[in-house]
Amino acid sequence: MSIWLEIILPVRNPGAKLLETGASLAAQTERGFGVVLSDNFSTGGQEIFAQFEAALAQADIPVRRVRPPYELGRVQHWNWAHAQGAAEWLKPLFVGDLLKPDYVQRHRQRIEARPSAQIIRCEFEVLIAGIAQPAARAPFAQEHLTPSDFLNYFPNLGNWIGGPINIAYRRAAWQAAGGYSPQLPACADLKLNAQLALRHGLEVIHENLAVFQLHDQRFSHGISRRRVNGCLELWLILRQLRNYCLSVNLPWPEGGVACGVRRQLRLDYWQPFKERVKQLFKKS
Amino acid sequence: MTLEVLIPVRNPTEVFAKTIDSLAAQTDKNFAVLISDNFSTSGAEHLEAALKKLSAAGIAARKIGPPLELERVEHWNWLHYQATADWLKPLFAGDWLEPAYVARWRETVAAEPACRYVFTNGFIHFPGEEPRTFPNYWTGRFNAPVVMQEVVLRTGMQFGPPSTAAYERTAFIGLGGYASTLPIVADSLLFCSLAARCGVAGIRETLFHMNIHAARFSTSLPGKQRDTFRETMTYLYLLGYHAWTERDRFPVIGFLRQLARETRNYFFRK
Repeated sequence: MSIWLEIILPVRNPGAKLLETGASLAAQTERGFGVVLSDNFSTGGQEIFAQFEAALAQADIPVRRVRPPYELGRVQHWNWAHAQGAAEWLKPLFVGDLLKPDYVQRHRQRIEARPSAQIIRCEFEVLIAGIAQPAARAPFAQEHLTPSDFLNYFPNLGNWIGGPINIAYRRAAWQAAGGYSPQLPACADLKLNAQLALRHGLEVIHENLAVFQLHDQRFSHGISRRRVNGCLELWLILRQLRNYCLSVNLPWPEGGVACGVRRQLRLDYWQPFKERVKQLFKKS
Repeated sequence: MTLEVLIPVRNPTEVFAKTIDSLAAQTDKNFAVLISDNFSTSGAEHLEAALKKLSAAGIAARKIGPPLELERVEHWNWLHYQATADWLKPLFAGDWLEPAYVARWRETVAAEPACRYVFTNGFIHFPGEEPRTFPNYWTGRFNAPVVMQEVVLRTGMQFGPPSTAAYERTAFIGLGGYASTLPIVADSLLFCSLAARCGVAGIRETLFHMNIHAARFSTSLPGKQRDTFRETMTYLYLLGYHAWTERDRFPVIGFLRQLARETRNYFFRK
């Protein structure tokens, strides 16, 4: 069977969570996909790599293990790993992320139903310490958004798009966009996904087909200790998206940048502040 | 060390022949050419002639096309991802190189193994005017990333348009290519990021000619001052934010002066 989809797995010093990811791939109800396992100069976890490859070989899923010519930064490695993909569709997946058994089948069905699709989003769950948490869902019922439709829901309704976990791209569209911006270490995925949705429209599958696990190894787990600022990144992203919309005559909403950033400021600073004040009152 | 010259085209005109002639005349012919045609509706004869001329000169040349019609910057990115050489050299239709370009590029890269980005001095040709050149302080040596990080934050783009540049494929891919959300300054953001992250080697000789001809995108820029200003400020903020997240040395005053300079230039020109 020819490979129409490649799962892009950028890895560095993987722990046992990689095996969970592998098990979710082996459990897919249909094949026709392969895995690009990109190792960014790991110094440990070789036995995990071997177990992962053995498990997928047993499930008849081809795995290509690749390695960049020199050690790359985190986002740079994502880009390089995507560039190694050869299938028509690419699906990024990180260590610990899980795909539900129907993921590949549902995506193939959607692509067959809409051959012009370039980017597909599905719903997903968030798992923190084994407990399921609500994830942002698409705030509409349509299965397809044109670029103009997309602006009805973004940026004024915040980041409901998700991240790499619930997105798959047609390879040519990803390549034409250039990839993830390393200048935006926390939100590079939001910029790329929104940019592609504004360029090609967005296919939406209203079904939970993926699980995002927040575990120790994950960048986003330690994001508060890192030197990133979500509001600043969002501002830089929205400035670029507005600029793009103006250059191609898309109806970017008036005050869209400010509205998006205000919303994020409320989430990042105002809500935690309110919570803290509430707790103080409770204590007193 | 392999090199691929990448030429994105759309409806090529007779100026394309000058570009191809300059490649056929290179003293070092150990490179390949990849021409991508983005759904041209005219100029097929120029493409055919180019492939014949390159083949006759002993240079491997391929013509490809994207699967769907792409925007200008998207097309550049897509073309770069189709290349397989270690190093990539974009060249636009109408621009041309001096015969020594490839040989000097090879010497420069061989002399500095850490080098991942090379630019060269060149001439700009405006119609009906004498060619102009702008000697660049950063040529004649390899400039380390730690130096260039501060330079780009203080002074922004220093390295000329894409046709002056050659860069390592891995470095290009890692940095996410040209930002199609910033169609006017996409090259400035990429080249400043390359210089800041990988360093840059500048070739002192004038080996490149930029031809401001009628079919060129940038010839319509003077009417787009506001867009250029908006994009310039955005790419400078991006460089500043990236330096901050990477905990690089940050010349705060120099950076603010640059933002002020851009703002003043915009309103003064207006």
